[in-house]
Amino acid sequence: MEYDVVIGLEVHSELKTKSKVFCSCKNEFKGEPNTHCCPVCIGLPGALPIPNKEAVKMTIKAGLAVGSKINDIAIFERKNYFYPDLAKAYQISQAVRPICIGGGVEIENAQGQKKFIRLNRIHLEEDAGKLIHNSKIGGTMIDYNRGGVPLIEIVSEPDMSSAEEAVAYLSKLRNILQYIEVSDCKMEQGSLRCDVNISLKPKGSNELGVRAEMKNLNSFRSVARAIEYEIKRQSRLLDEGEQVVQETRRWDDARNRSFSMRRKEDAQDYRYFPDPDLLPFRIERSLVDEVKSTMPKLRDEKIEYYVNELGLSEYDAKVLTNDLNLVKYFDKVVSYFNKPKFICNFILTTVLKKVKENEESDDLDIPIDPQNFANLMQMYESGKISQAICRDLFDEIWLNNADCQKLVEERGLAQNNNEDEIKSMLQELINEFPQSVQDYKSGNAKALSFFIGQLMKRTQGKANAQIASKLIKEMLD
Amino acid sequence: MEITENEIKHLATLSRLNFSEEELGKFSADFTAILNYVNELQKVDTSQVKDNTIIREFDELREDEVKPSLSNDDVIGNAPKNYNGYFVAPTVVE
Repeated sequence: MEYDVVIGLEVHSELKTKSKVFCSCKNEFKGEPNTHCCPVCIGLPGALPIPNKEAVKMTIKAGLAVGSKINDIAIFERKNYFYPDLAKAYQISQAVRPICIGGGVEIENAQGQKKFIRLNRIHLEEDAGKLIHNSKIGGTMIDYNRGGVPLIEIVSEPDMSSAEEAVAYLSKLRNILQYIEVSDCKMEQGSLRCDVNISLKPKGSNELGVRAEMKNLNSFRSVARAIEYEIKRQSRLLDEGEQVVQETRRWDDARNRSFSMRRKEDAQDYRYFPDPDLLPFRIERSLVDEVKSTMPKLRDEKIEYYVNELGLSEYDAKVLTNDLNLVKYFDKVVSYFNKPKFICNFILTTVLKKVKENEESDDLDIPIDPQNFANLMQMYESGKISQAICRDLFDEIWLNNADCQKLVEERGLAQNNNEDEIKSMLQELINEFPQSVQDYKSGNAKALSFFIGQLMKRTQGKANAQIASKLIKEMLD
Repeated sequence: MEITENEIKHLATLSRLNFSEEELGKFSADFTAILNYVNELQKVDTSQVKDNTIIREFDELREDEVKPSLSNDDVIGNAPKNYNGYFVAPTVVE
Protein backbone atom coordinates (compact mmCIF):
# COMPACT_ATOMS: atom_id res chain seq x y z
CA MET A 1 0.00 0.00 0.00
CA GLU A 2 1.10 3.57 -0.55
CA TYR A 3 1.37 5.95 2.37
CA ASP A 4 1.74 9.64 3.04
CA VAL A 5 4.54 10.37 5.48
CA VAL A 6 3.88 12.99 8.15
CA ILE A 7 6.88 14.44 9.99
CA GLY A 8 7.22 17.08 12.69
CA LEU A 9 10.43 18.16 14.40
CA GLU A 10 11.27 19.36 17.88
CA VAL A 11 14.56 21.19 17.71
CA HIS A 12 16.51 22.13 20.82
CA SER A 13 19.18 24.75 20.62
CA GLU A 14 21.42 26.02 23.42
CA LEU A 15 21.64 29.80 23.64
CA LYS A 16 25.10 31.32 23.89
CA THR A 17 24.55 33.63 26.81
CA LYS A 18 27.41 34.27 29.24
CA SER A 19 25.55 32.89 32.24
CA LYS A 20 22.90 30.23 32.76
CA VAL A 21 19.19 30.90 32.34
CA PHE A 22 18.08 31.11 35.98
CA CYS A 23 21.37 31.68 37.85
CA SER A 24 24.75 33.41 37.39
CA CYS A 25 26.85 30.29 36.82
CA LYS A 26 28.97 30.26 33.69
CA ASN A 27 27.39 28.86 30.52
CA GLU A 28 30.29 26.85 29.14
CA PHE A 29 30.57 23.57 27.28
CA LYS A 30 33.87 22.48 28.73
CA GLY A 31 35.14 22.64 32.30
CA GLU A 32 35.78 20.20 35.12
CA PRO A 33 32.58 18.39 36.18
CA ASN A 34 30.28 20.20 38.63
CA THR A 35 32.29 23.42 38.73
CA HIS A 36 29.70 25.73 37.14
CA CYS A 37 27.05 24.95 39.71
CA CYS A 38 25.21 26.79 42.49
CA PRO A 39 22.21 26.18 44.75
CA VAL A 40 19.82 27.18 41.92
CA CYS A 41 21.08 24.82 39.22
CA ILE A 42 21.63 21.84 41.51
CA GLY A 43 18.19 22.35 42.99
CA LEU A 44 19.01 22.97 46.64
CA PRO A 45 15.93 23.78 48.72
CA GLY A 46 15.12 27.47 49.06
CA ALA A 47 17.15 28.60 46.04
CA LEU A 48 15.42 31.24 43.92
CA PRO A 49 15.71 31.20 40.12
CA ILE A 50 15.65 34.56 38.30
CA PRO A 51 15.37 34.62 34.48
CA ASN A 52 18.30 35.91 32.43
CA LYS A 53 17.34 38.98 30.35
CA GLU A 54 19.67 38.03 27.51
CA ALA A 55 18.18 34.53 27.22
CA VAL A 56 14.71 36.08 26.92
CA LYS A 57 15.97 38.55 24.30
CA MET A 58 17.64 35.77 22.29
CA THR A 59 14.42 33.76 22.32
CA ILE A 60 12.53 36.82 21.06
CA LYS A 61 15.21 37.26 18.38
CA ALA A 62 14.80 33.65 17.25
CA GLY A 63 11.04 34.19 17.12
CA LEU A 64 11.34 37.37 15.07
CA ALA A 65 13.71 35.65 12.63
CA VAL A 66 11.08 33.02 11.82
CA GLY A 67 8.05 35.33 11.90
CA SER A 68 6.60 34.22 15.25
CA LYS A 69 4.20 36.34 17.24
CA ILE A 70 5.77 37.40 20.55
CA ASN A 71 3.47 36.95 23.55
CA ASP A 72 3.06 40.04 25.74
CA ILE A 73 3.08 37.94 28.88
CA ALA A 74 5.03 34.70 29.20
CA ILE A 75 4.91 32.07 31.93
CA PHE A 76 7.46 29.55 33.17
CA GLU A 77 6.08 26.20 34.24
CA ARG A 78 7.44 23.12 35.94
CA LYS A 79 7.66 19.99 33.83
CA ASN A 80 7.82 17.22 36.38
CA TYR A 81 9.80 14.10 35.76
CA PHE A 82 12.07 11.99 37.86
CA TYR A 83 15.41 11.31 36.23
CA PRO A 84 18.87 12.10 37.59
CA ASP A 85 19.73 14.58 34.81
CA LEU A 86 17.60 17.08 36.74
CA ALA A 87 18.42 17.54 40.40
CA LYS A 88 15.08 19.23 41.16
CA ALA A 89 12.94 16.42 39.65
CA TYR A 90 11.41 19.04 37.37
CA GLN A 91 12.58 21.11 34.44
CA ILE A 92 11.65 24.78 34.25
CA SER A 93 10.00 25.09 30.86
CA GLN A 94 7.02 26.79 29.23
CA ALA A 95 3.68 25.27 28.30
CA VAL A 96 0.56 27.44 28.01
CA ARG A 97 2.26 30.80 27.36
CA PRO A 98 5.62 30.40 25.64
CA ILE A 99 7.58 33.47 24.49
CA CYS A 100 6.94 32.86 20.76
CA ILE A 101 3.87 31.54 18.96
CA GLY A 102 3.57 30.45 15.32
CA GLY A 103 5.79 31.51 12.45
CA GLY A 104 7.48 29.31 9.90
CA VAL A 105 10.39 28.82 7.53
CA GLU A 106 10.55 28.23 3.82
CA ILE A 107 12.57 25.28 2.58
CA GLU A 108 13.68 24.34 -0.90
CA ASN A 109 14.16 20.80 -2.17
CA ALA A 110 16.81 19.63 -4.63
CA GLN A 111 14.50 20.43 -7.54
CA GLY A 112 14.17 24.02 -6.32
CA GLN A 113 10.56 23.60 -5.21
CA LYS A 114 9.62 25.73 -2.23
CA LYS A 115 7.55 24.65 0.75
CA PHE A 116 6.51 26.53 3.87
CA ILE A 117 6.95 24.67 7.16
CA ARG A 118 4.79 26.16 9.90
CA LEU A 119 6.02 26.49 13.46
CA ASN A 120 3.86 25.87 16.47
CA ARG A 121 5.97 27.72 19.04
CA ILE A 122 9.38 28.54 20.45
CA HIS A 123 9.80 28.32 24.18
CA LEU A 124 12.63 28.90 26.63
CA GLU A 125 13.68 26.27 29.14
CA GLU A 126 16.70 24.99 31.04
CA ASP A 127 18.99 22.25 29.78
CA ALA A 128 19.54 19.13 31.89
CA GLY A 129 22.77 17.75 33.32
CA LYS A 130 24.96 15.23 31.57
CA LEU A 131 24.83 11.56 32.54
CA ILE A 132 27.59 9.04 32.02
CA HIS A 133 26.61 5.46 32.75
CA ASN A 134 29.56 3.69 34.28
CA SER A 135 29.22 -0.01 34.97
CA LYS A 136 32.66 -0.12 36.60
CA ILE A 137 31.54 2.01 39.50
CA GLY A 138 28.05 0.54 39.39
CA GLY A 139 26.12 3.73 38.83
CA THR A 140 25.57 6.84 36.77
CA MET A 141 27.98 9.76 36.95
CA ILE A 142 26.31 13.16 36.81
CA ASP A 143 27.75 16.51 35.76
CA TYR A 144 25.39 19.47 36.32
CA ASN A 145 27.53 22.04 34.45
CA ARG A 146 25.06 21.84 31.56
CA GLY A 147 22.06 21.89 33.89
CA GLY A 148 20.45 25.31 33.69
CA VAL A 149 22.03 26.29 30.37
CA PRO A 150 19.39 28.23 28.39
CA LEU A 151 17.73 26.11 25.76
CA ILE A 152 15.07 27.02 23.23
CA GLU A 153 12.75 24.40 21.86
CA ILE A 154 11.39 25.05 18.40
CA VAL A 155 8.34 22.95 17.64
CA SER A 156 7.22 22.58 14.04
CA GLU A 157 3.81 21.59 12.76
CA PRO A 158 3.75 18.13 11.09
CA ASP A 159 4.34 19.73 7.69
CA MET A 160 7.22 17.63 6.35
CA SER A 161 6.79 14.51 4.28
CA SER A 162 10.26 13.09 3.67
CA ALA A 163 13.73 12.76 5.16
CA GLU A 164 14.96 15.24 2.60
CA GLU A 165 12.46 17.88 3.73
CA ALA A 166 13.26 17.28 7.40
CA VAL A 167 16.97 17.75 6.76
CA ALA A 168 16.30 20.87 4.65
CA TYR A 169 14.18 22.29 7.46
CA LEU A 170 16.77 21.50 10.12
CA SER A 171 19.56 22.98 8.07
CA LYS A 172 17.53 26.14 7.39
CA LEU A 173 16.79 26.53 11.11
CA ARG A 174 20.44 26.04 11.97
CA ASN A 175 21.40 28.61 9.40
CA ILE A 176 18.96 31.16 10.84
CA LEU A 177 20.00 30.56 14.47
CA GLN A 178 23.66 30.91 13.54
CA TYR A 179 23.06 34.09 11.54
CA ILE A 180 21.23 35.84 14.34
CA GLU A 181 24.03 34.65 16.66
CA VAL A 182 21.92 33.11 19.38
CA SER A 183 23.44 29.62 19.17
CA ASP A 184 26.54 27.82 17.87
CA CYS A 185 24.31 25.02 16.65
CA LYS A 186 26.92 22.29 16.86
CA MET A 187 25.13 18.97 16.62
CA GLU A 188 28.12 16.95 17.76
CA GLN A 189 28.55 18.99 20.90
CA GLY A 190 24.82 18.89 21.50
CA SER A 191 24.14 22.62 21.17
CA LEU A 192 21.65 21.66 18.45
CA ARG A 193 19.50 18.58 19.00
CA CYS A 194 16.52 17.21 17.24
CA ASP A 195 13.65 14.82 17.97
CA VAL A 196 11.53 13.59 15.08
CA ASN A 197 7.83 12.70 15.23
CA ILE A 198 6.76 10.51 12.38
CA SER A 199 3.58 8.75 11.31
CA LEU A 200 2.12 7.23 8.15
CA LYS A 201 -1.39 7.40 6.74
CA PRO A 202 -2.94 5.82 3.65
CA LYS A 203 -2.22 8.01 0.64
CA GLY A 204 -4.70 10.88 0.42
CA SER A 205 -6.32 10.16 3.78
CA ASN A 206 -7.07 13.07 6.11
CA GLU A 207 -6.77 11.07 9.27
CA LEU A 208 -3.38 11.14 10.99
CA GLY A 209 -1.79 7.80 11.84
CA VAL A 210 -0.20 6.77 15.14
CA ARG A 211 3.16 8.42 15.58
CA ALA A 212 6.50 7.35 16.97
CA GLU A 213 9.02 9.79 18.40
CA MET A 214 12.68 9.29 17.50
CA LYS A 215 15.41 10.46 19.86
CA ASN A 216 19.20 10.55 19.95
CA LEU A 217 19.79 12.00 16.50
CA ASN A 218 23.23 13.59 16.56
CA SER A 219 23.85 14.54 12.97
CA PHE A 220 21.97 15.48 9.83
CA ARG A 221 22.89 12.09 8.47
CA SER A 222 21.35 10.24 11.40
CA VAL A 223 18.17 12.34 11.11
CA ALA A 224 17.84 11.24 7.48
CA ARG A 225 18.70 7.61 8.19
CA ALA A 226 16.38 7.37 11.20
CA ILE A 227 13.48 8.73 9.15
CA GLU A 228 14.13 6.32 6.26
CA TYR A 229 14.31 3.47 8.73
CA GLU A 230 11.10 4.50 10.49
CA ILE A 231 9.16 4.87 7.22
CA LYS A 232 10.14 1.31 6.30
CA ARG A 233 9.35 -0.04 9.75
CA GLN A 234 5.92 1.55 9.96
CA SER A 235 4.88 0.70 6.40
CA ARG A 236 5.89 -2.93 6.93
CA LEU A 237 3.71 -3.06 10.07
CA LEU A 238 0.75 -1.44 8.31
CA ASP A 239 1.14 -3.65 5.22
CA GLU A 240 0.94 -6.69 7.44
CA GLY A 241 -2.24 -5.37 9.02
CA GLU A 242 -0.57 -4.62 12.32
CA GLN A 243 -0.80 -1.48 14.44
CA VAL A 244 1.88 1.13 14.96
CA VAL A 245 2.15 1.73 18.70
CA GLN A 246 2.64 5.21 20.05
CA GLU A 247 6.09 5.14 21.57
CA THR A 248 9.45 6.79 21.95
CA ARG A 249 12.29 5.14 20.06
CA ARG A 250 15.99 5.59 20.44
CA TRP A 251 18.13 5.74 17.29
CA ASP A 252 21.32 3.69 17.34
CA ASP A 253 23.57 5.15 14.68
CA ALA A 254 26.18 2.40 14.85
CA ARG A 255 23.62 -0.35 14.28
CA ASN A 256 21.56 1.74 11.88
CA ARG A 257 18.28 0.93 13.57
CA SER A 258 16.04 2.18 16.36
CA PHE A 259 14.89 0.58 19.59
CA SER A 260 11.75 1.13 21.62
CA MET A 261 12.42 3.22 24.74
CA ARG A 262 8.96 3.55 26.23
CA ARG A 263 5.41 2.88 25.22
CA LYS A 264 2.36 5.07 25.59
CA GLU A 265 1.17 3.10 28.63
CA ASP A 266 4.21 4.23 30.56
CA ALA A 267 4.32 7.58 28.83
CA GLN A 268 5.50 10.42 30.95
CA ASP A 269 2.83 12.43 32.66
CA TYR A 270 4.59 15.74 33.16
CA ARG A 271 1.99 17.44 35.37
CA TYR A 272 2.87 20.96 34.22
CA PHE A 273 1.97 23.82 36.53
CA PRO A 274 3.12 27.46 36.78
CA ASP A 275 6.41 27.65 38.67
CA PRO A 276 5.61 29.47 41.91
CA ASP A 277 9.25 30.66 42.12
CA LEU A 278 8.93 32.49 38.81
CA LEU A 279 6.23 35.06 38.24
CA PRO A 280 4.71 35.58 34.80
CA PHE A 281 6.71 38.32 33.10
CA ARG A 282 5.84 41.07 30.68
CA ILE A 283 7.35 41.53 27.24
CA GLU A 284 6.67 45.13 26.21
CA ARG A 285 6.36 46.09 22.56
CA SER A 286 9.36 48.40 23.06
CA LEU A 287 11.53 45.43 24.05
CA VAL A 288 10.51 43.54 20.93
CA ASP A 289 11.35 46.63 18.83
CA GLU A 290 14.71 46.92 20.56
CA VAL A 291 15.54 43.29 19.74
CA LYS A 292 14.36 43.82 16.17
CA SER A 293 16.84 46.67 15.75
CA THR A 294 19.74 44.32 16.60
CA MET A 295 18.92 41.75 13.90
CA PRO A 296 21.94 41.13 11.67
CA LYS A 297 21.81 40.63 7.93
CA LEU A 298 20.18 37.36 7.12
CA ARG A 299 21.50 35.00 4.51
CA ASP A 300 19.54 36.39 1.58
CA GLU A 301 20.95 39.88 2.14
CA LYS A 302 24.45 38.47 2.44
CA ILE A 303 24.07 36.62 -0.87
CA GLU A 304 22.99 39.87 -2.51
CA TYR A 305 26.05 41.64 -1.09
CA TYR A 306 28.45 38.94 -2.30
CA VAL A 307 26.97 38.94 -5.80
CA ASN A 308 26.57 42.69 -6.27
CA GLU A 309 29.53 44.07 -4.32
CA LEU A 310 32.15 41.32 -4.45
CA GLY A 311 31.28 39.90 -7.86
CA LEU A 312 30.79 36.28 -6.79
CA SER A 313 28.46 34.11 -8.83
CA GLU A 314 25.06 33.47 -7.29
CA TYR A 315 25.82 29.77 -6.99
CA ASP A 316 29.10 30.41 -5.18
CA ALA A 317 27.46 32.95 -2.87
CA LYS A 318 24.79 30.40 -1.95
CA VAL A 319 27.28 27.66 -1.14
CA LEU A 320 29.45 30.05 0.85
CA THR A 321 26.56 31.43 2.90
CA ASN A 322 25.20 28.01 3.75
CA ASP A 323 27.22 28.09 6.94
CA LEU A 324 27.82 31.19 9.03
CA ASN A 325 31.23 29.99 10.21
CA LEU A 326 32.33 29.88 6.61
CA VAL A 327 30.93 33.38 5.98
CA LYS A 328 32.80 34.80 8.95
CA TYR A 329 36.02 33.09 7.90
CA PHE A 330 35.70 34.25 4.31
CA ASP A 331 34.98 37.85 5.37
CA LYS A 332 38.07 37.88 7.60
CA VAL A 333 40.35 36.46 4.92
CA VAL A 334 39.03 38.97 2.39
CA SER A 335 39.69 41.78 4.87
CA TYR A 336 43.39 40.79 4.82
CA PHE A 337 43.66 40.06 1.11
CA ASN A 338 41.07 41.68 -1.08
CA LYS A 339 40.64 39.12 -3.88
CA PRO A 340 37.20 37.71 -3.02
CA LYS A 341 36.65 35.69 -6.19
CA PHE A 342 40.06 34.06 -6.01
CA ILE A 343 39.66 33.21 -2.33
CA CYS A 344 36.10 31.98 -2.81
CA ASN A 345 37.23 29.57 -5.54
CA PHE A 346 39.90 28.08 -3.33
CA ILE A 347 37.55 27.79 -0.35
CA LEU A 348 34.74 26.16 -2.32
CA THR A 349 37.05 23.58 -3.85
CA THR A 350 40.05 22.75 -1.73
CA VAL A 351 38.85 23.88 1.70
CA LEU A 352 35.37 22.39 1.54
CA LYS A 353 36.78 19.13 0.24
CA LYS A 354 39.02 19.02 3.26
CA VAL A 355 36.13 19.75 5.60
CA LYS A 356 34.07 16.98 4.05
CA GLU A 357 36.82 14.42 4.59
CA ASN A 358 35.63 14.46 8.18
CA GLU A 359 32.18 13.19 7.29
CA GLU A 360 31.13 12.43 10.83
CA SER A 361 30.90 16.13 11.53
CA ASP A 362 28.27 18.63 10.38
CA ASP A 363 30.19 21.38 12.09
CA LEU A 364 32.43 23.53 9.98
CA ASP A 365 35.68 24.50 11.66
CA ILE A 366 38.68 25.75 9.74
CA PRO A 367 41.78 25.40 11.92
CA ILE A 368 43.97 27.80 9.91
CA ASP A 369 44.28 31.34 11.22
CA PRO A 370 42.56 33.67 8.68
CA GLN A 371 45.63 35.94 8.39
CA ASN A 372 47.85 32.93 7.66
CA PHE A 373 45.36 31.65 5.10
CA ALA A 374 45.23 35.11 3.48
CA ASN A 375 49.04 35.05 3.21
CA LEU A 376 48.90 31.66 1.50
CA MET A 377 46.32 32.97 -0.96
CA GLN A 378 48.42 36.06 -1.61
CA MET A 379 51.55 33.99 -2.42
CA TYR A 380 49.55 31.70 -4.69
CA GLU A 381 47.71 34.48 -6.48
CA SER A 382 50.88 36.49 -7.12
CA GLY A 383 52.66 33.44 -8.54
CA LYS A 384 55.22 33.33 -5.76
CA ILE A 385 54.30 29.70 -5.13
CA SER A 386 52.95 27.13 -7.57
CA GLN A 387 49.56 25.46 -7.29
CA ALA A 388 51.17 22.20 -6.21
CA ILE A 389 53.15 23.90 -3.43
CA CYS A 390 50.07 25.86 -2.37
CA ARG A 391 48.08 22.63 -1.94
CA ASP A 392 50.90 20.95 -0.01
CA LEU A 393 51.27 23.95 2.27
CA PHE A 394 47.53 24.10 2.78
CA ASP A 395 47.45 20.44 3.86
CA GLU A 396 50.31 21.06 6.24
CA ILE A 397 49.10 24.23 7.91
CA TRP A 398 45.61 22.70 8.22
CA LEU A 399 47.25 20.36 10.72
CA ASN A 400 49.62 22.70 12.53
CA ASN A 401 48.71 26.28 11.50
CA ALA A 402 52.43 27.02 10.95
CA ASP A 403 53.31 30.38 9.40
CA CYS A 404 53.17 29.63 5.67
CA GLN A 405 55.41 32.56 4.68
CA LYS A 406 58.15 31.29 6.96
CA LEU A 407 57.80 27.77 5.56
CA VAL A 408 58.25 29.08 2.01
CA GLU A 409 61.41 30.99 3.00
CA GLU A 410 62.96 28.27 5.15
CA ARG A 411 62.42 25.55 2.58
CA GLY A 412 62.99 27.67 -0.50
CA LEU A 413 59.60 26.80 -1.92
CA ALA A 414 59.22 29.91 -4.03
CA GLN A 415 58.09 29.15 -7.54
CA ASN A 416 60.62 29.23 -10.33
CA ASN A 417 59.27 31.61 -12.98
CA ASN A 418 62.55 31.87 -14.87
CA GLU A 419 61.84 30.90 -18.49
CA ASP A 420 65.46 30.20 -19.39
CA GLU A 421 65.98 27.83 -16.47
CA ILE A 422 62.74 26.00 -17.12
CA LYS A 423 63.60 25.75 -20.79
CA SER A 424 66.98 24.14 -20.14
CA MET A 425 65.45 21.66 -17.72
CA LEU A 426 62.83 20.74 -20.30
CA GLN A 427 65.56 20.31 -22.91
CA GLU A 428 67.25 17.79 -20.62
CA LEU A 429 64.01 15.84 -20.33
CA ILE A 430 63.47 15.89 -24.09
CA ASN A 431 66.93 14.39 -24.56
CA GLU A 432 66.27 11.77 -21.91
CA PHE A 433 62.88 10.60 -23.12
CA PRO A 434 62.89 10.43 -26.91
CA GLN A 435 60.06 7.89 -26.83
CA SER A 436 57.68 10.43 -25.29
CA VAL A 437 58.72 12.98 -27.90
CA GLN A 438 57.77 10.39 -30.52
CA ASP A 439 54.46 9.76 -28.78
CA TYR A 440 53.61 13.43 -28.89
CA LYS A 441 54.60 13.77 -32.53
CA SER A 442 52.37 10.83 -33.43
CA GLY A 443 49.40 12.63 -31.87
CA ASN A 444 49.39 11.59 -28.21
CA ALA A 445 48.76 14.88 -26.40
CA LYS A 446 49.14 13.15 -23.04
CA ALA A 447 52.88 13.05 -23.58
CA LEU A 448 52.93 16.75 -22.73
CA SER A 449 51.64 16.11 -19.22
CA PHE A 450 54.33 13.45 -18.84
CA PHE A 451 57.01 16.09 -19.34
CA ILE A 452 55.33 18.53 -16.96
CA GLY A 453 55.01 15.75 -14.39
CA GLN A 454 58.70 14.89 -14.67
CA LEU A 455 59.65 18.53 -14.41
CA MET A 456 57.59 18.95 -11.25
CA LYS A 457 59.14 15.86 -9.77
CA ARG A 458 62.64 17.19 -10.34
CA THR A 459 61.85 20.64 -8.99
CA GLN A 460 59.71 19.40 -6.09
CA GLY A 461 56.75 21.24 -7.55
CA LYS A 462 58.51 24.57 -7.74
CA ALA A 463 58.50 25.14 -11.50
CA ASN A 464 55.77 27.42 -12.82
CA ALA A 465 53.48 24.93 -14.52
CA GLN A 466 51.86 27.49 -16.79
CA ILE A 467 55.17 28.69 -18.16
CA ALA A 468 56.37 25.11 -18.53
CA SER A 469 53.25 24.04 -20.48
CA LYS A 470 53.66 26.95 -22.86
CA LEU A 471 57.38 26.21 -23.35
CA ILE A 472 57.17 22.47 -23.89
CA LYS A 473 54.57 22.97 -26.61
CA GLU A 474 56.74 25.52 -28.35
CA MET A 475 59.77 23.25 -28.08
CA LEU A 476 58.10 20.14 -29.46
CA ASP A 477 55.94 21.73 -32.16
CA MET B 1 -12.97 14.42 45.26
CA GLU B 2 -11.20 11.16 45.81
CA ILE B 3 -7.61 10.29 45.03
CA THR B 4 -7.65 6.54 44.55
CA GLU B 5 -4.94 4.09 45.49
CA ASN B 6 -4.37 3.55 41.78
CA GLU B 7 -3.60 7.23 41.29
CA ILE B 8 -1.17 7.11 44.20
CA LYS B 9 0.47 4.08 42.57
CA HIS B 10 0.80 5.98 39.29
CA LEU B 11 2.41 8.96 41.03
CA ALA B 12 4.73 6.62 42.91
CA THR B 13 5.85 4.99 39.66
CA LEU B 14 6.57 8.40 38.11
CA SER B 15 8.67 9.28 41.16
CA ARG B 16 10.41 5.88 41.25
CA LEU B 17 8.98 5.22 44.71
CA ASN B 18 7.60 2.03 46.19
CA PHE B 19 4.76 2.06 48.71
CA SER B 20 3.32 -0.75 50.80
CA GLU B 21 -0.42 -1.48 50.67
CA GLU B 22 -0.77 0.22 54.02
CA GLU B 23 1.03 3.36 52.79
CA LEU B 24 -1.09 3.45 49.64
CA GLY B 25 -4.24 3.52 51.75
CA LYS B 26 -2.85 6.23 54.02
CA PHE B 27 -1.69 8.45 51.15
CA SER B 28 -4.98 8.02 49.38
CA ALA B 29 -6.87 9.20 52.50
CA ASP B 30 -4.42 12.12 53.09
CA PHE B 31 -4.50 13.35 49.48
CA THR B 32 -8.28 13.11 49.40
CA ALA B 33 -8.52 15.16 52.59
CA ILE B 34 -6.18 17.83 51.19
CA LEU B 35 -8.16 18.14 47.97
CA ASN B 36 -11.43 18.26 49.89
CA TYR B 37 -10.04 21.16 51.88
CA VAL B 38 -9.10 22.93 48.66
CA ASN B 39 -12.63 22.25 47.41
CA GLU B 40 -13.96 24.06 50.47
CA LEU B 41 -11.83 27.07 49.57
CA GLN B 42 -13.17 26.98 46.00
CA LYS B 43 -16.62 27.73 47.41
CA VAL B 44 -15.62 31.20 48.59
CA ASP B 45 -17.21 33.83 46.38
CA THR B 46 -14.30 35.79 44.86
CA SER B 47 -16.25 37.42 42.05
CA GLN B 48 -15.80 40.85 43.67
CA VAL B 49 -12.08 40.42 44.35
CA LYS B 50 -9.70 42.20 41.98
CA ASP B 51 -7.24 39.96 40.10
CA ASN B 52 -4.01 40.22 42.05
CA THR B 53 -1.75 38.21 39.79
CA ILE B 54 1.65 39.82 40.04
CA ILE B 55 3.43 40.25 36.75
CA ARG B 56 7.12 40.85 36.71
CA GLU B 57 8.47 43.59 34.48
CA PHE B 58 11.34 42.72 32.17
CA ASP B 59 13.61 45.19 33.99
CA GLU B 60 13.28 43.12 37.15
CA LEU B 61 14.93 40.11 35.51
CA ARG B 62 18.62 39.31 35.88
CA GLU B 63 21.46 40.82 33.83
CA ASP B 64 23.51 38.25 31.93
CA GLU B 65 26.52 38.33 34.25
CA VAL B 66 28.69 35.47 35.45
CA LYS B 67 29.24 35.26 39.20
CA PRO B 68 31.36 32.72 41.06
CA SER B 69 29.89 29.24 41.39
CA LEU B 70 30.29 26.91 44.34
CA SER B 71 33.48 24.87 44.63
CA ASN B 72 33.27 21.28 43.43
CA ASP B 73 33.70 20.13 47.04
CA ASP B 74 30.70 22.17 48.11
CA VAL B 75 28.64 20.98 45.14
CA ILE B 76 29.14 17.26 45.68
CA GLY B 77 29.93 17.38 49.40
CA ASN B 78 26.45 16.31 50.48
CA ALA B 79 26.04 13.60 47.86
CA PRO B 80 25.78 10.08 49.28
CA LYS B 81 28.18 8.95 46.59
CA ASN B 82 30.63 10.75 44.34
CA TYR B 83 33.46 9.88 42.00
CA ASN B 84 36.12 12.12 40.41
CA GLY B 85 34.05 15.26 40.89
CA TYR B 86 30.84 13.66 39.63
CA PHE B 87 27.70 12.83 41.55
CA VAL B 88 26.99 9.13 41.40
CA ALA B 89 23.38 7.97 41.30
CA PRO B 90 21.85 4.53 40.88
CA THR B 91 21.52 3.84 37.17
CA VAL B 92 18.00 4.50 35.93
CA VAL B 93 17.72 3.18 32.42
CA GLU B 94 15.07 4.92 30.40
